[in-house]
Amino acid sequence: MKRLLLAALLLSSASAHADDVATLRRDLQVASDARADEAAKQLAASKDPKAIEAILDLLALGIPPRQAQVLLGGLAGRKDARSFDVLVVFSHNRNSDLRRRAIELLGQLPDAKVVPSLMLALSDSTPEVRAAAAEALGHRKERSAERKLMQLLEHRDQSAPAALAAIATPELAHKLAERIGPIPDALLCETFGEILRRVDFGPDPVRVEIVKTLAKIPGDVSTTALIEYMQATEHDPKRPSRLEAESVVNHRKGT
Amino acid sequence: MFTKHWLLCGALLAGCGPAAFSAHSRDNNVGDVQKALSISKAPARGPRNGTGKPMAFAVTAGPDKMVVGIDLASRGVVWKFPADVRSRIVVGKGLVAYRLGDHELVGRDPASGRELFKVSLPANEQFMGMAIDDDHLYYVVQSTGESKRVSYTVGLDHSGHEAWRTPAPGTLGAPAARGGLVAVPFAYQNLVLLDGASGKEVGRVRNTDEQVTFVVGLPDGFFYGGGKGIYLLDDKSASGTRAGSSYAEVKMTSGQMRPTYWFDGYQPTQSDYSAFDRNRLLWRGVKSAGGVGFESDLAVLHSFRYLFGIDTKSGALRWAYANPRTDVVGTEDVGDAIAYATADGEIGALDEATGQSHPLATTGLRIAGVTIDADGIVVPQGSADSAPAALRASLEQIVWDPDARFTVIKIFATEALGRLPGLDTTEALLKIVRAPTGVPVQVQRRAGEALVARKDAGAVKLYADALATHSDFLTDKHAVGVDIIARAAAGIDAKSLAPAIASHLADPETPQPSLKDLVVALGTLGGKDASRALRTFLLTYRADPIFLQDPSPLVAAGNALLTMGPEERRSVSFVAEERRTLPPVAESLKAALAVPAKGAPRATKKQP
Repeated sequence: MKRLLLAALLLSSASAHADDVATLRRDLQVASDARADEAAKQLAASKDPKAIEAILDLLALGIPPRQAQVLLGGLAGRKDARSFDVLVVFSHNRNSDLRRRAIELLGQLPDAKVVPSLMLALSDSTPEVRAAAAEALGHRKERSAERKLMQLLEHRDQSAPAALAAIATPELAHKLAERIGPIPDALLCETFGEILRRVDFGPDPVRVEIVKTLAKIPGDVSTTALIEYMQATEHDPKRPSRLEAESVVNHRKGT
Repeated sequence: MFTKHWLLCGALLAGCGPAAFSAHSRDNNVGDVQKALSISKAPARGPRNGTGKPMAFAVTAGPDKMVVGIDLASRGVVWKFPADVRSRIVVGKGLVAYRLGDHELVGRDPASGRELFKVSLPANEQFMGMAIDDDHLYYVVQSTGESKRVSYTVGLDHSGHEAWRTPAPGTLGAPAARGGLVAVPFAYQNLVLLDGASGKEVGRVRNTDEQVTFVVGLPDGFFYGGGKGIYLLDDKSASGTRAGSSYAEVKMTSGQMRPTYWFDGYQPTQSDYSAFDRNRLLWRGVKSAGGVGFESDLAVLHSFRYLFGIDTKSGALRWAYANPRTDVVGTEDVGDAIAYATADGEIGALDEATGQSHPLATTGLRIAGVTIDADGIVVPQGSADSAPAALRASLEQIVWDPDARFTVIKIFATEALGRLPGLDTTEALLKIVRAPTGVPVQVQRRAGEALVARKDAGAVKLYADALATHSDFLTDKHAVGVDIIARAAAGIDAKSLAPAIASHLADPETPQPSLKDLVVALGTLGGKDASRALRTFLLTYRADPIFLQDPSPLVAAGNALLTMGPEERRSVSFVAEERRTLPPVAESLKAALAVPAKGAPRATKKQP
């Protein structure tokens, strides 16, 4: 019995020891693959302030992609400016999953110096990487991305509407209205729908113009965008743009 | 009486000698060859047809085949008749002849097209070819019905009457005629010379070095040969060897195109117009001091739509011509020009010196095959000053031709382009290397080799501009050939291009097979940008299984870093020793590290 207790104590001690950043780092470098995978998870989850330095060191010195993916996950939410250089390198990695992850994390950093990397990623050949970049730029309301996001929309990329809508101004909405035809109706309607639902977009006469633009686009996609706008503005039934949308929808229904 | 009779026969036999084509006939006798050649009279220069005007005789394509006479002086069709022509048309003084269907020969007047005669060929005789001179038409047939193969050479006068018929045991090839002497390839090794008036054998050449598959009569004499070059029939032919004969061949600098000097006389299909008329070498053999050469040291390689003027001594390309849209179906060396006809009925001539094209006639016919009788035709001479630029433009046109059939020709054109000097050529090669589409891969590869090999130090800006382009989804740009550009840049030690090459090494869109060339180029160019890029590359991917199959880019990066200084050496040492590094990379780098760095002190063995 005493022996069992002693063994349990020893195991407990080992577990506590394994949480040590230096140990985890060493395990990642020299332990078996299985142990290294486990160490990567523990290091990524570690709250130790030293963990981020270890993660960045390990990423910079090179580790298998499987473990790199886990360690990049450990940077999520930390928004630590020290990760910038490493993330830029990973935003060019030949593994597209690692590129996507790096772009997501760069997007979280508040510093404006991440923008060129995000813009560059809009040109990536992998849709998921472009989508991560578009989402990050939209989230940051990065107006300088307008031209590239418009190009992305013209390339029928599904990630463009939400990002464009997020940075849209009345002028951009006007430019979009002039692109009926070259840009597929579904993507254009989705973009307009997203713009209409933005609470900070306006003034309302611009929304009315967007509703009228949607009215020019035949088919279910534009009707759906208008109905979704009406649903999103039920709290404000007298808003002119909503009334205009209602009128178009009713006309299409034949009521 | 009995004895007298046999004595007479014996005397007659002694006087006649062995029969023509006999296995017992004497060969390689200088006296015989000289005697035979004395029969052959050099034809007058100019068109052979007897009208005094250059003419072309064409066979049209399609089900309603026609034979057509075209006057190249008046530039128009002068006669045409429905005819199922099954041979190349031969032209002599006052006579054109061809095989009609399988079993007839037809002779017509070149001026009017009027039929002069029609001769039947027995059904069991395979037509091998025919030739013509001022007095006779000669043809060779091979009997197909007999158990032992027998061939015949037949002489007809110009009215179609059979003047003689000479049998031969075995195989004969298509004959050639020149001023009263007929030459016939016999049993693959021999050239038998017959008197055109009687059909009697007057001499024989036996070549011991190679097969004799063709013979042709030209103004300067008879020329014969096999696959590699031409022999002039002269006294030296009696040697029976290539070394002892008057022999010449065109120097070809490319292995892409195998030149065909003349139609294979033993192939019945080549007695008719065929793809061989569109793929051959055009040349005029001339007697030269002590031997034979090519007129103007020029041969023209014809390949479908393209003609290349080749210097026969150096192999250099003098000019190139690309016919727009349609194939050139027939060509003829007519002295100072190359006459040609296209599938869509254009007849023209290329200036022999520059390759510039001049129209001779527009017929509107769909031409399947043609014999052009226009010896001595004069075309305006092109400007020699613009020749290099024109050649480059023509070669580029060929390389970029959207017709996908001609990869071999495009490779040939690319190799020729690579031999031209100047930055414009470098730019042209670079354009080929960088093409995302529209150029066969083999052509791009050859252009790349030429680009790297030319080491054009003036091309740094061209390379910089090219390397500035990265693949971009938004702009539909594709960075193609960056590995080649990197090698070219390294070849001229363009250190300023290291950052641009480094940016492609870091670009995930750069194809994996290109990485090693980028790494090696950076190692060659050196500098901080190069070492930083190489170190980042090595560390980032040292444990990435995507390099397990081909770790050479990582190993090359390590090897390059080892030459760049102690700090870089430490990085390599770390990579070599670190457990996660891919085993083949670690092993290679450990081996490299075991070699002392240049200038490093020799390790001394510690005493125990």
